[in-house]
Amino acid sequence: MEGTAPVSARRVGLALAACVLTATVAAGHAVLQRAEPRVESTLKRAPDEVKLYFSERLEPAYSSLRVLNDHGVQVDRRDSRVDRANPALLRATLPPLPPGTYKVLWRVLAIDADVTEGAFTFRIE
Amino acid sequence: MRALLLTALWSHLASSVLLVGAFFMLLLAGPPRATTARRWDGTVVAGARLLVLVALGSGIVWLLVRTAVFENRPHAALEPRAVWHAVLDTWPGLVWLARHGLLVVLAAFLAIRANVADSRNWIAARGEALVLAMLALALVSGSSHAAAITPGTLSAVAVDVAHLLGTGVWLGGLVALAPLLRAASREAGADARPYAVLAARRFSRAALIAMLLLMASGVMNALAQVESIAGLAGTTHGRLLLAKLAVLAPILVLAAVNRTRILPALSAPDATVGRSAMRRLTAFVGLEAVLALVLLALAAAMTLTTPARHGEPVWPLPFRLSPDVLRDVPATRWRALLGSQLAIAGVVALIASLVVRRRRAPVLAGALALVAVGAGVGLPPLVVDAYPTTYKRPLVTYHAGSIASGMATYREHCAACHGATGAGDGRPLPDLRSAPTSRRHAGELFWLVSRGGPGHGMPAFEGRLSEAQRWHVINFIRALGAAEGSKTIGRQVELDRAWLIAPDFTVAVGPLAPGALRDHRGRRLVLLVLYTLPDSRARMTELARSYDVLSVIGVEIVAVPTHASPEAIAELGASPPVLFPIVTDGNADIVETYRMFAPGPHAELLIDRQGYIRAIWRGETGRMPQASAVQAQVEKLNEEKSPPPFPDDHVH
Repeated sequence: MEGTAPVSARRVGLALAACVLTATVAAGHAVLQRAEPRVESTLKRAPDEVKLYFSERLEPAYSSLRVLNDHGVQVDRRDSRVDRANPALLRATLPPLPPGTYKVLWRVLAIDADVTEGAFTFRIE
Repeated sequence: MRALLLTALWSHLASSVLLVGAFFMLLLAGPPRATTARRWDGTVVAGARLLVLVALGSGIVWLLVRTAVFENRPHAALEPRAVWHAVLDTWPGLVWLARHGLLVVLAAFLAIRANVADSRNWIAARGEALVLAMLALALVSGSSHAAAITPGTLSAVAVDVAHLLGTGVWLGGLVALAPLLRAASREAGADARPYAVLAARRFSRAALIAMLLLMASGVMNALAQVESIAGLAGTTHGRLLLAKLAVLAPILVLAAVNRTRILPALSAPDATVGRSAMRRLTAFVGLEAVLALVLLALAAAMTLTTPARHGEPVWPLPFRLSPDVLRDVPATRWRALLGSQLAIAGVVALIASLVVRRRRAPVLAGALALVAVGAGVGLPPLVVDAYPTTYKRPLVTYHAGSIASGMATYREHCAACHGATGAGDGRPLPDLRSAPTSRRHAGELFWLVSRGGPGHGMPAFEGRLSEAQRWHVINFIRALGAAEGSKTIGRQVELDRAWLIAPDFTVAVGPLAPGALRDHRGRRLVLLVLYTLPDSRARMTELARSYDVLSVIGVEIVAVPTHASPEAIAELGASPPVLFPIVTDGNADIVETYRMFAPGPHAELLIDRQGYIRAIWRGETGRMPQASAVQAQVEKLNEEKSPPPFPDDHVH
């Protein structure tokens, strides 16, 4: 609906955009503790899942991850979700991946209302 | 525009706090009788009506900005569906809804201009408003940093609620009291002076209790959120806390002057003296309230920053204090001991100076001098070099894959100078296996590896190795030091001496989904078996036969052949059946890492439930333990009354 928004609303939107951009720089309280595959690791066998363990409970509605190949194409099964049994675990399944370098991008919301985002790579030989 | 978020949060917090204080102060002062007092009551209630609107307005701005942040789309702030999604589908949103629901009820309640001339009606009306305001303020903790603490969420939230309500009583009460004192200090407000004096006295007592509650809950909050000196001095969150303390100091001085000097003067027999004291009190209370609002702005800023316990401190000083020096340089112990004793004597004298009344100034001066001399004598020996990255968190975990990768990088880039074993090979370089090197923070090693040591000929590797590669090398150096210390670990478990962390590794078995060594933590002990066929065949057969016995006593066997092979399980034969995992992938990394602790073609390591290596059987397969010997060590471990904490996934 962006194309039909009135000019004044757009201005407010742009103003909020600037606010958002600066807000996300410092905000962010759920910290990535551990990842499977490990951060910056080299694997002999393609993993069938990415699991990210955080320091705090996550909000399922706004927590997700993506896995991109070295061409920037999303290769995960687009099913990232917060684990029901462990609310600090974010996971997504993967199809069989060929050798290459993959980038995991994550963005999560913790229950203290702050957003954290980050990225790391892993390599399949 | 970050200022908009901060302003909205500050306005919302300040108005919520002032609402609590306004009704608390009214109830504390009691039903007003005099005309001036009734006018003050009306002014405070009118102010509360405005405050509740400010709280609702700023709360809505906060929600819209947060929605845009949650959605990562600025325009989401203007989309009702996105806003409702943020409110209804998140915990912070539901907390927001509950709080603002209470504020709406409070606004409606205040909008009703009921007749409260009767004392009981007046108390009921103000009391109900106070309860609603307190509930709305207390719910702020429901989605605060405290709510994210696990375990111990409930106690952390309870402490945070106490801190918020204490702020409401103290700061809100101050702001509400100021206009009463101002009115009563004027000629026209003389009718309310006894009422104002009584209110000020009652508030002084309540504020003292609130301040003690604030300080106690503040210390507990700081311990939970900041955790360390590095977090305090090296993160934005910690520095905001220091700024809060800097603002708190003059507030405490003002409060002490108000309580000890001005309040007693209010009851002076001469009406002129009383009025003058009241004017001074009005000014001081106003100043205290302004400083308290600054304090609240700093608190709001703290909620927008990463708590220090999760932050990455940038150490601001070129040195730090390390008690480990006393272990490495025994000659400095006497000086540290002397300094500590002088400082303790100084602290005792300092406490005495607060208690005794006679000759307080010389005792205080002597106490401070003793503390200063003690610090001057005792602290310099503890000083070690520090760097901005001293407390930096490693990028990679302490994992066999990382250590093996670091080993390869070390051989290529470092061994030429430091020697293959890290001992320096005759060069005047620090032994990388030594205790002093092991005791350096990982972040300090990271700085030295990245930036080099210009004075020592150490090149900078920042441009030659990626950050991950540098952390892999540091993990390897940590493992070198651990391997040197592991020589003292033998076949017998030593009780309450868990220190050697078992590096994690991937347990990949054939086509099954891979697990990790750490998956056993808190559940089972692990007997890690590094084996080589054909020499280990007899031993593996023995282990296969005794697996059921070991399994019953809580021991899992994880076997790692020297060479990775999908046929590893088949190579052991079908009889007796091998029911424990045989690692078929990534073996080289695991074997290279664990052979640092247990060299040889066959070795077995007992890893406790917390993840520490507690016994090592090295050497020939014939010297490996019977199931009964493993059982004896397991029983010893079971005797440990307080198991050590789980090791961190990263080195420090």
